[in-house]
Amino acid sequence: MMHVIQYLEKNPDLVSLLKAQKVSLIGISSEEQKAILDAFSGVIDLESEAWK
Amino acid sequence: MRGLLKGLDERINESLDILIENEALIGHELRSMLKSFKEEKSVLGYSFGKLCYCHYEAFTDCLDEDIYKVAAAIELLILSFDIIDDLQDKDSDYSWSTIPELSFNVALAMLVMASRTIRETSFEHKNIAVQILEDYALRSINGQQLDLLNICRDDQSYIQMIDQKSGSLTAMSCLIGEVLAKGEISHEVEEYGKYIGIIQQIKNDIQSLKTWGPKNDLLNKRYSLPIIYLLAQKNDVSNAVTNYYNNDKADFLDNNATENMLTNGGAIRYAITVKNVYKFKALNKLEDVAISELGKDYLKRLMK
Repeated sequence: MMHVIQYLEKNPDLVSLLKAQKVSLIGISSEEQKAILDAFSGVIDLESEAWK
Repeated sequence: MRGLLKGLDERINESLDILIENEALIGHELRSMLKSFKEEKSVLGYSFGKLCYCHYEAFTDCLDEDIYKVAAAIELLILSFDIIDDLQDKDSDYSWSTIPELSFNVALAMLVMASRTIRETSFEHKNIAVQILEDYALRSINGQQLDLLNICRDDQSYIQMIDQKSGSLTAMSCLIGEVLAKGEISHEVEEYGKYIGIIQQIKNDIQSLKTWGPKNDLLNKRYSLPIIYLLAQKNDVSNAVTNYYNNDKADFLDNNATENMLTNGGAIRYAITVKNVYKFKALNKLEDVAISELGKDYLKRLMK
């Protein structure tokens, strides 16, 4: 997973292509791909109100 | 569910007060410290006790009021672990850091009271609940030992460590609720219960890097997923951080460059990706469990 993130950080155009489903990540499950794309979506909610 | 859970915090708080007040084998000195530490904790809410209640309520036909005692017992164990963790980390945010030698006794008393409280309830399956508490508490202590040793320096060993340290405590809370209701536990609840702890720990790790204060993992030469990612890079910043970690003498770090590399170089994004993987795993497991939609909504918020 670390290498995939490193690669995408260096090739940001691929993130757009992945989001548009024009390319796929080989050896990565669909859930892992969704986890990656969500991390690249820019929406980061670190404050879990429920955990109080 | 939010209103219900707020009321639940109050019920657990009342049960904690009663447990502390009624413990006949402790004197005034110990009791007053227990009360004051509990008060400090009450501001933060009782997430572990609520996980227990939520699972008991989901699987039982008839609600036994003793469940609030059990939720309070779990919170006593969690508070004892928090106190010991803070003393080990020399964290001075709470009053228990003022006189550590006395606080250790408070933590020990809480630990003993936790299992004793469950054993004294009227639940048919209380002995299995105590066994779960002891097994998962030991797993968590083992994880805490690995954490203190700071030896989990790659992603896999780090995740195994937080699985034990944090995942055990959230899984334990869910499973005790489930076993008291059903007399048995399910693999699905154990798995997503564990994932909730892993998710929350990764979020804490990311938070720790947000400020350059005494709790910053990087300044303290600790390892976490974003730091493991950063150290695996081959650039000037990662080399400087590696040197900082390897040197015993005082050293300098360029805070701005390091922060920039963490936030814009993929380190935080990597940690968020791993957290998301556990979120999806947890959501999948939750789908297979017969809990009300309200209960699921609450659990899903803990999986974010």
